[in-house]
Amino acid sequence: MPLNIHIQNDSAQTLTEQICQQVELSIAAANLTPNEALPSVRQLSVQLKVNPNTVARAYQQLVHKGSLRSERGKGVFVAECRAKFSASETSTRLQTAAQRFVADTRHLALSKDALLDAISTVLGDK
Amino acid sequence: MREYSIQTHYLAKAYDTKVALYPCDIAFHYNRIYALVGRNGSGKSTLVKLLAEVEAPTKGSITFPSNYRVGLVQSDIGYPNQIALLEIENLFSTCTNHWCKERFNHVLNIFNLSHNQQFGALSTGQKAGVKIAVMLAQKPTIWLLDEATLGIDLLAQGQALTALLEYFGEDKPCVLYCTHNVNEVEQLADEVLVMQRGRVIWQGEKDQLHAQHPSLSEGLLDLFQLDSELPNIEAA
Repeated sequence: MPLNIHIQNDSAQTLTEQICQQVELSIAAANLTPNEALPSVRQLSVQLKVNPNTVARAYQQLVHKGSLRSERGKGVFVAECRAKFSASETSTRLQTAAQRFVADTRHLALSKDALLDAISTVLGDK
Repeated sequence: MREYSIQTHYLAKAYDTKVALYPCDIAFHYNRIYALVGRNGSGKSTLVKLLAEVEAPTKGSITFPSNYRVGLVQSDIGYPNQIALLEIENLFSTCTNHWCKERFNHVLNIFNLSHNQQFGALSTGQKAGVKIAVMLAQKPTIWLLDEATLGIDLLAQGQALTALLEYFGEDKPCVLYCTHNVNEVEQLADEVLVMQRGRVIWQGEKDQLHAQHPSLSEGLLDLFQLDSELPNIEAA
């Protein structure tokens, strides 16, 4: 199945950011599973009609973040989730991400339950 | 250091007393797409024609790497109306060494064109497709596209991007792409060069320009509105 990414021109986000975010969302929603291969840089470049250097930069950033791993000569794959931060660092990062989520959804004026529901839906009630 | 593709040295062009390009030193590299933007008459086409060596500079010079081949697409230059695409194919395959028939056919396919069609009977978008096919089939290392997609419909624009990106990924050439289309700048460019009244007034990474503004088009508009306050150095 081709990777489902839609780029939007003239948005506030650069195309690199849009690709990174949508690959991460696909991973979070389990549309992409650990060890699954991503399309090659050239394939995705033609599919999205964007410069292959932009696709390569997005992949590099995701490899750097630990969402993807690259194997020389083989391509780029979804990384296994593994704890690589100390307990305190993990808790700091979780808190920051939670604060960002709450701040981003504040203007929607939703109940606490609606927000928690949205998170469990994304997680697929695992 | 990346291998350079083209370097201009104090390159300038004047037509009679009118300066079209003020002296400039610019380096262009392989595996990069440079979007050349600016208002009409800002000097983009002059720069492209000098790099394609179809016009001689008034001053300065250009250094090319070894084994370079230039491919040029200009919006206002095509083929005779009576010529069929098969004849274009035959003509180029006998007079150029690097002609790749498969590529020519593949790009014609992308544009849904067939060999027996006559150039004059094609739509603007299809004509652009033929010109892009001829350029790509010559396997150039330097692609110069001067408003290659001017006036063509959305479908043909998409077909042009597909063809160009497919072979850009394969050949990793140095590409100069003149356009007025912000979407093309966003989807194609690594770097942006903004020209105004014969000068390159801004050159930098596209993502950097985007990051400093609410959107890429606003960044470009900002640069377009900059008034050129450089001293007037006439190319004698």
